[in-house]
Amino acid sequence: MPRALTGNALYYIGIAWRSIFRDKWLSGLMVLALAVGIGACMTTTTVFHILSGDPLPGRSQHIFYVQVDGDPQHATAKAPWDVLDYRTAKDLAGTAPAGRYALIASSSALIARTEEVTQPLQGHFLATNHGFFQMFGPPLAYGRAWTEDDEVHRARVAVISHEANQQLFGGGDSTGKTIQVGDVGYRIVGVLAEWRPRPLFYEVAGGALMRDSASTFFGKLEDVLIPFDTAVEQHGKLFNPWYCWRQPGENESLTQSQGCLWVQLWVWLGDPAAQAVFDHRLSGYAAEQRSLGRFDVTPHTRLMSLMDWLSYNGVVPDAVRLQLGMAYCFLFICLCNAVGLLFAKFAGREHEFALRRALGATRGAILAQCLVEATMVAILGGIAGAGVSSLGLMLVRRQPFSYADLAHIDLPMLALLGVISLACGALVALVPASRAAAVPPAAQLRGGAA
Amino acid sequence: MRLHPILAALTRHKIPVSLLVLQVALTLAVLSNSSFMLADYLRRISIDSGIAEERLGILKLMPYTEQQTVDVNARVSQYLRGLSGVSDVGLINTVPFGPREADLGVRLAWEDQKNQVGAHVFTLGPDTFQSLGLELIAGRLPMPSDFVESASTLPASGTVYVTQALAERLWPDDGALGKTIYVNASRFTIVGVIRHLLRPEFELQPLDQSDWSLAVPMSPGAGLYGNYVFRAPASQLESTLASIRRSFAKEVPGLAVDEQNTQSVAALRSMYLQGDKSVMGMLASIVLLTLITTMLGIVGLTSYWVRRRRRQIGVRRALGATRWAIASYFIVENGMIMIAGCTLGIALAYAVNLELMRYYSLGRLPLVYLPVTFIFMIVAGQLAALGPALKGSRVQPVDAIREA
Repeated sequence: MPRALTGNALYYIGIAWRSIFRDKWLSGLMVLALAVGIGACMTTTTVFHILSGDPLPGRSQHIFYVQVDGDPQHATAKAPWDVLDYRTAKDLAGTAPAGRYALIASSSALIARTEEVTQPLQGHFLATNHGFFQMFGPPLAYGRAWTEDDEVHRARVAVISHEANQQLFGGGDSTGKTIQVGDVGYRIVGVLAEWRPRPLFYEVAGGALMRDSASTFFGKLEDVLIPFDTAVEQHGKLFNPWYCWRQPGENESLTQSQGCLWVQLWVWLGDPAAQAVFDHRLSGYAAEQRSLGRFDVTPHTRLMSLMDWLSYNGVVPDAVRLQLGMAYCFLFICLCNAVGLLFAKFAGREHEFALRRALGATRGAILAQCLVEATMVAILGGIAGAGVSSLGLMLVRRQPFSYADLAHIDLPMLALLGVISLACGALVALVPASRAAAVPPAAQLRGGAA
Repeated sequence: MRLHPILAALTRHKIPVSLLVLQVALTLAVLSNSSFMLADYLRRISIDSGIAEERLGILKLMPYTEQQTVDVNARVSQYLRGLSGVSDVGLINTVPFGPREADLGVRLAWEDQKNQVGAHVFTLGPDTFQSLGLELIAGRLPMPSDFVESASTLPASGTVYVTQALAERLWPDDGALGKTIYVNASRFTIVGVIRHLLRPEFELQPLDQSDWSLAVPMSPGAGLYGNYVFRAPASQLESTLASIRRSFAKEVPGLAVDEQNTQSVAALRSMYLQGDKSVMGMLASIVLLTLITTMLGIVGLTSYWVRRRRRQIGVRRALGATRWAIASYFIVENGMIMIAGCTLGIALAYAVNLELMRYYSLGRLPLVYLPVTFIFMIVAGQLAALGPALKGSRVQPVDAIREA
């Protein structure tokens, strides 16, 4: 029996192969349509998959973003401003459970090696605190993160990125060396291994207010990480506010300004109970600050999980969603095309089917033969589709988006490709094949090749 | 020609015909909505900045800590004037397609905090008005007395130029000249109206607000420094900028240029609009693929019907039917399918547009797109069917006999 089955299958494949080649043009058209349809879908799905990914798998569900907005002109807005003023950020950081929080501010600066006179790098530094390392877990290639103790003593220590280490020191263990940020020297205590969260989650603030801003969300980590308080002390003037709802006074610095927003606060909340407690604490803080007269209105507060924060800021741009929709619509058109053509093709062979039926072939046998042929078309379409999608991704990589270089097909996407092409095959094959199998033997023979 | 036999033949092939109708309908929905979106993108990438982009270069300094800004401005201006081909060096806080510096609320009354109109405020040093090539449509050019000193980014009071679009928004029924406006804590008198001056990062606002700008004359100093605009012949501009990026640090010790923002305005423009252009490219290629696929589908199906009916064609030809009668049969058949598909497509296009309006910042599809895409699709369908139909008309009566 198995041998008979294999024999049958081989026979069907043989017939299908000959049939596909008999109508080279028609079969080519079907394969091409399926290939382009599947290729377009795979390209856009891969881009979507990259953009909607979790930057910190296993951690993101515990990481929360804090918003407190005391701008009286913004009181009726749907959402609070995205970034905090210095004082609010510092106050709330102090209340984070177990001291697990990360303050973040960044700026551009000239960065250079201290020992050697070289062309300085036009780079960026990130001012943060040791919680950054605990919460986000960037891997270290050499050395260690700085400690709370370093922060208390305002130590001038730094952790540098893998890229900066390559660029400035040519790689290797650079701990113990010093690096210039602006005109201040820092001792390197740690060197990060390659690390690129996708997206760079602390860069997405303001995304909800912009049009298609994701082009900047997938950039690279800053070159140098330095302790927050040290950075504010040494480079306070370099920071650009994200927004000022009230311009700072003549002699007011950014740290004193109430209306200039430039610090982000991330907190680690291990379980729903901790989240509820912290959320409650936020509203308590807002009310307290209002009654102390620091704000003219009770600030609007919000606590958002990392993934919610990303989707709120439109990390997946509208244009990409649109392309995804259009690609699937296109695939549907391609499927209609293929079904129509296959229908026509089987209809053209009604005479042959009738003859085989009259010679004793069962309906099942005809059905199986048509299915094999349609499946082969779908498989060929899928293989060609893989080629089309790698071409499509190559085109995406040449686009001016910060995520462009990430556009590569991965294993889950490849599996999806297989599933999509087989599903297409089944969809394309079933209706025409069952119609073909329904051909009554006698009528067709009597009617001739009508 | 009688339509009844054609219709009867079509109803015998319900599934392939209805699939083709559905395909045509979807294609029309995709085509109309995409061309509407493409037209919107086209308006964005061809926007008029109001300045002489092709001949303007920008030199921007990295932040520096010393407070001798007057000296810095003098040294950099002198350096720039010394370069060959460079003329009209001026200071400006930012340029169209550059970074946003001062998106501020404009008020018509000092105490009126509620009705603010958001606009971008450019601050211009002496000569900058001319070097940008702004077109003045009312009022007068800046005079030396207009350039007031200020320690902060805006002077407490002075003169201002508004764009035509902003003037029309602020005073719909009245001229703008001589009027007073308030921005933050400053008070300005309008002395001129300019045709266009595009806001930096104009895509953050709706397109009809992209030209809402103010230009405030100001003396170089603590409030205006570090960003210089100059003119050079278009052919020399890129090489001049390259030599600035290369030699500036040597020529003007103690200062460094911000290489990312030291560019020609044309380069800033193409960098800012790059994203839009590539979205347009992707949109256009999906539309093109959809159209090609549908047309190929029509070609494939029509040729199949032609081939299946060779015998009938031969018989009809033998009975005296002209070639034209045979070809027109297939053309009319295709016409009926296309009309059904396009009619369904119009309904679908409208539904797709409603969905797009809900989820994306897209406007209502203008009605004119529907008849235009309708006719376009019918013509495309007829063209696709023409080849197979003509092939069918060439079948000889004798073929019918041979075939059997």
